[in-house]
Amino acid sequence: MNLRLIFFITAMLLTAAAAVTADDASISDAERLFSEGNSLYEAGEYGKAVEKYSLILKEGLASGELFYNLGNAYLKTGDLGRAALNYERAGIYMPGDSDLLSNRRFAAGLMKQQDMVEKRHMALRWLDMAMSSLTLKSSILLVSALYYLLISMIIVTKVFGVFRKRSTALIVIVFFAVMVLTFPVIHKIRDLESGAVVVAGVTDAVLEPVKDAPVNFPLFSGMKVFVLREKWGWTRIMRPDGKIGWVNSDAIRRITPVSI
Amino acid sequence: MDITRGNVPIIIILAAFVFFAMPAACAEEDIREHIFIEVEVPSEARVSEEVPVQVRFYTDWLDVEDLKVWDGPSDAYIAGDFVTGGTEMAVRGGTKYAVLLFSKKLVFPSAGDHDYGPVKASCVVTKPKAQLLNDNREFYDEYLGRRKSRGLAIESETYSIHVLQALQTEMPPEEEAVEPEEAVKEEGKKLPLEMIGIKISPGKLEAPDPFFYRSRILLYAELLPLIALLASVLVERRLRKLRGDTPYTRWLRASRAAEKDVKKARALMKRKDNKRFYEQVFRAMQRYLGVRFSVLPEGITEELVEARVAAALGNDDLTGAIKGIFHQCYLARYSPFKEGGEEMVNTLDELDSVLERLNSIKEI
Repeated sequence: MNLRLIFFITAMLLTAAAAVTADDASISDAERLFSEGNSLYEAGEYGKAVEKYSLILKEGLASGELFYNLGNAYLKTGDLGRAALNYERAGIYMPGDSDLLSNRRFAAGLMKQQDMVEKRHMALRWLDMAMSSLTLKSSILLVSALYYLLISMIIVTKVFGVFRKRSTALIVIVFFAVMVLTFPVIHKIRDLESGAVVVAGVTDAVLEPVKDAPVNFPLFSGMKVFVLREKWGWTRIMRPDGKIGWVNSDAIRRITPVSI
Repeated sequence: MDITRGNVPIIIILAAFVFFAMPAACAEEDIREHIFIEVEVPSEARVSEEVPVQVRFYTDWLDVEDLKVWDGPSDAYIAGDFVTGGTEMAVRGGTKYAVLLFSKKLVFPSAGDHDYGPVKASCVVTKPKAQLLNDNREFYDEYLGRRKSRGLAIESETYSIHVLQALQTEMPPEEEAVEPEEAVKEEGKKLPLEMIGIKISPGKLEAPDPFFYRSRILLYAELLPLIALLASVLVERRLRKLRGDTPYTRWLRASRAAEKDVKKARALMKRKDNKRFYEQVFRAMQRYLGVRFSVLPEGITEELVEARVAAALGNDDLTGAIKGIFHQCYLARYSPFKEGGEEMVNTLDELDSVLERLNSIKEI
């Protein structure tokens, strides 16, 4: 019985060690590819740099820095759509990175249609800006911590009647904070779930998902849109200004597909 | 053509064409009479000179919304967006039109023959609310049917513009064709210098898990405080009830204590420990009544049972049973003869029954 147990534990430890070693190996491979990609980029071989960076993604690994460099390489090749797409993806990992923000602005300056007003209440846009430097994970942690604090305060002060002094005001403040901070989190999740970027050159959004349907509005490379639904190779999208139309699914790429 | 079974599908298709496709095609034809665009572009221009383009959007008072005018991008010229230049009236073929003006300026960077256009316009034709007052109501009925609105795309033809060299400008040398790879590099070099370079370190490489928030653990973690709140409300209610309802609290404490005592007595009975069994039964009865009547258990005597318990219960039968148990205990504890196992079973059953009857009376 004891021997069996020892054998089982040894087997488990060996399996875990093998898994860790394999992970380490694939990470060191990825780091080598990243470094090769950087060298190619520095040499001006932007297309080849893109290939090297993409190999890391094919290995199932990703990081904000990788998407940022990939975005830069695409931008240097003139592929504004894929550059914007990879900057968006980098933003999931390191939304507050100053280099990323700067290059995003730079890429946005190259886009054709820059003066699009987002159809969203100004207060909500301010909130988004305030939380923009936090990743989704950090935002969820922050809101959850406040939510735990709120419930604890209610239990201690209202249910058991301890520390009642000024407790109502504090509870209201924390409740308000939880409610208000939930909006940017929902917005971030919506961005992740349905955000997409136009990667084709200039393309038209049409009124119906059929060939030769009347044109509704133009879309430009690098423009961010939201996917509403997909049907027969067509995708119903919404522009940030609220306009809705159908576009060929090949013209856009989701920011977070199931496998990046 | 005879109408036979074989011809029926063809006849149906023809009928469908006549009833549906033909009116639709006619409606498309008709709309061009009501809404159309005209583009004015000079046929000749010079390099680096601004070339004005004017688009005139005609509508004969149809309700049109969401109007947009644009042209495709081109390497041959540089252009901004169209700007609206007001409205005017025009008469064409005896029909009055409202004309919306759009204009922009093109700049051609190189000489030669360049194509411009097509200029595209899109709008939504909307059925007016006060349709009966509108001159075009028949048109709306035919074109829109039961629909409230319908999108419409209009496209102009492509125009050819002959671009001459700029005045006072020398011909630039012909550029050699560059290889695609070179062209990509050139594109990169053209970008302004504000772009910040690449990251040297790859950061923390990990398997992407963008939808981590869908995890059940997170959901349960969010539910946990609510469950805690609910549990604490229930606990607080219970505590409040125990604090405020004294008879209930006594009843609860007494029944719990009795349960334990009966269990102990049963264990002693199994061990056939006669003396301690009866002591335990006696203590159980004392403790139960002591808690229920708020008296020290040691103070529960036969006289007290007679005086307080009988008065409170108002049930002579039950009072008698309690006294009977006390009697049995006295006898067993102080008698020189040992009671048998059967007597112990009977006593325990009696204790059980008395406690059950007392427990059923909650208000004492």
